[in-house]
Amino acid sequence: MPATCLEGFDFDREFALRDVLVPVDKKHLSALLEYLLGDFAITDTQGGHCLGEPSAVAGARLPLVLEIEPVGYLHTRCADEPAQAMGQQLVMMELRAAQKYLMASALHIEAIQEDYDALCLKHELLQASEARYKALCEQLDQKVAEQIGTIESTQRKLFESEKLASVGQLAAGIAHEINNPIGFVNSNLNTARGYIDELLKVGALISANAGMSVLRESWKQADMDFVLGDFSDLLGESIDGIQRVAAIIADLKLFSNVDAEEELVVDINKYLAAGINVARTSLDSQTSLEFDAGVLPQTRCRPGYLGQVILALIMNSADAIAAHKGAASAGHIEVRSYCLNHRIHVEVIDNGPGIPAHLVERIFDPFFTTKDVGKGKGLGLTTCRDIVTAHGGEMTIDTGVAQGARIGFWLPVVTGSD
Amino acid sequence: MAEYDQDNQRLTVKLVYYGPAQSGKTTNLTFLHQSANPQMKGELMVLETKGDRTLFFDMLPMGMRAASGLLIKLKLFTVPGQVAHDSTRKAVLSRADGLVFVADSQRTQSRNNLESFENLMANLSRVGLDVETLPLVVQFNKRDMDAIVTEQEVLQRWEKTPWPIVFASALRGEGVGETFRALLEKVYGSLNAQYQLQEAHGVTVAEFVTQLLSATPLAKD
Repeated sequence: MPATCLEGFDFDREFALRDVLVPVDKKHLSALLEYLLGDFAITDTQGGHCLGEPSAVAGARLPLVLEIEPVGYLHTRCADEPAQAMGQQLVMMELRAAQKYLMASALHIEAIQEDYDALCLKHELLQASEARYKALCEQLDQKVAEQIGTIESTQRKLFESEKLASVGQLAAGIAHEINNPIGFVNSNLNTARGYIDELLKVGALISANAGMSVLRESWKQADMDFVLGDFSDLLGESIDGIQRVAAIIADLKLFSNVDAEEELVVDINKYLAAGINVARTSLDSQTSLEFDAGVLPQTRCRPGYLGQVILALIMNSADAIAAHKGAASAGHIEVRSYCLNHRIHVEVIDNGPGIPAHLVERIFDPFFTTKDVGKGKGLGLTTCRDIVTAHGGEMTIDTGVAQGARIGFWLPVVTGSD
Repeated sequence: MAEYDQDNQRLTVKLVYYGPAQSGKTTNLTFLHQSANPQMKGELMVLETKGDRTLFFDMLPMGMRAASGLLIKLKLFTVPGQVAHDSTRKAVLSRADGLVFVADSQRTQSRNNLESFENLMANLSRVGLDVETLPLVVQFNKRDMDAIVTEQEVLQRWEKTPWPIVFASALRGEGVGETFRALLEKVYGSLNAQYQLQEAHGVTVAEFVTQLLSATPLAKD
């Protein structure tokens, strides 16, 4: 039957004969009725012809009741009353089955449509809530990005302030190192000026054509033999002092100006030595610092940063040793560099208290510190790790040492331009 | 909404038996089909069921002819009680002119009764019917069972509601006619107001009930 018959009507409506005839197999029904009654006709309540032989309306008229009232009539010229009753029953059975089918189908469609509408509504609500979550999510992303920005800028500020702190610490040591030679150079030059005055007196006697005996007397009186020897010593000492200052400044130059530094292909020993020398200026006299420099291949790196790393490691060792005052023996720090399997290894070995095993995992965490409150900023080793990682290397901690600490890093040997 | 067909002089009225699964809605209709004695009575249409449970609906048509010639036709429907068939239940409920809520008296079923009644209230507003004006009778069925809520408890619980409460055992036929009679009386009120049954068609409430239920009390009532 065509689908249009089911669409758009209520399942519980009143059914006319023509409605319920739609799903009926009219060919077989006609054949059965013809066999049973000879000729027949089915008309609706208005007399409209629906099925069979129109002329049969001349015969008996049997009501076709669908529910409680006739929806049409079965007409036949067959006079056999039991056959008439059977025919009537047959048609009514067919019509009721058809009605039942139509009602169930219509109700089914109504229910399905209802379910579908409900699903659509649910879908819409879901989409709306999804959109809401999406918006929330985007907001969250933005918030997180903002927070990350804040944290990064705070971290940068901390990094800067730590650098300032270490520069301040270094400056004190360096000032002492420089002040010392400048002091004795100054004193030497003042003494030298006095010597020049003595020489000028002898010079004046020569200009006045004084006799050799007078000159000899004056030379002896001024103790000129000693003056000239001492003068030479003073100048030698002063040159040494100036050279010491120049060396410190050269180290500082290597070590400083890291922010504008470009990558260079260098032997990092030179820069490690500079860092070590700068560190040395801050050590107390009880602590010795040695550098065992191995033969290293040149590698592409930002050497100033590596100098900062070695300085930070040495200062950590020095702090550890200083905090461990109970130790009878003097402090000792050794820096070693060597190349193994295309990696450059640098280690700082000290005879301090060492790193407790349970802290090894945490020492590179930002803000982790074992120093007293106010002494450490906790970014030292984290910054070291960041620098080493940026070079493609890793920090190393040897926990197997019997005493003290052995901490360092390795870098890959990079010779290409990339 | 009753359907008035002027051409055929026919007023079709839809009555719906609502309630939780297996509370006895179909049993009500079956008993009315067997025992009620209205002026005109059709066949009980029972749609295919699965394990004794209604999937779509059952329908019992009956009717009376007024002196004016008006055919008053009642169609009694049951809804599928199972929770899952809510869309079907809602479609069957649409356009109802009167309602019987068939509750299960067993104590274990109290929750199901409540859920079904709430579902009825929700569906009524969804299909645009007003519970304030719609004729409604509440039947507490299965009075023949053990472990049932007592009549006193039921009456106490429903005390503040405006609806008649009828106790029934549909399986035994007790209370089914009484329920239907209570419904007919209420439905007559709303139909008379709308279609002037008494003035225009000469149908009084007594005649309405008698002609659509039985001149004499039902056999088992």
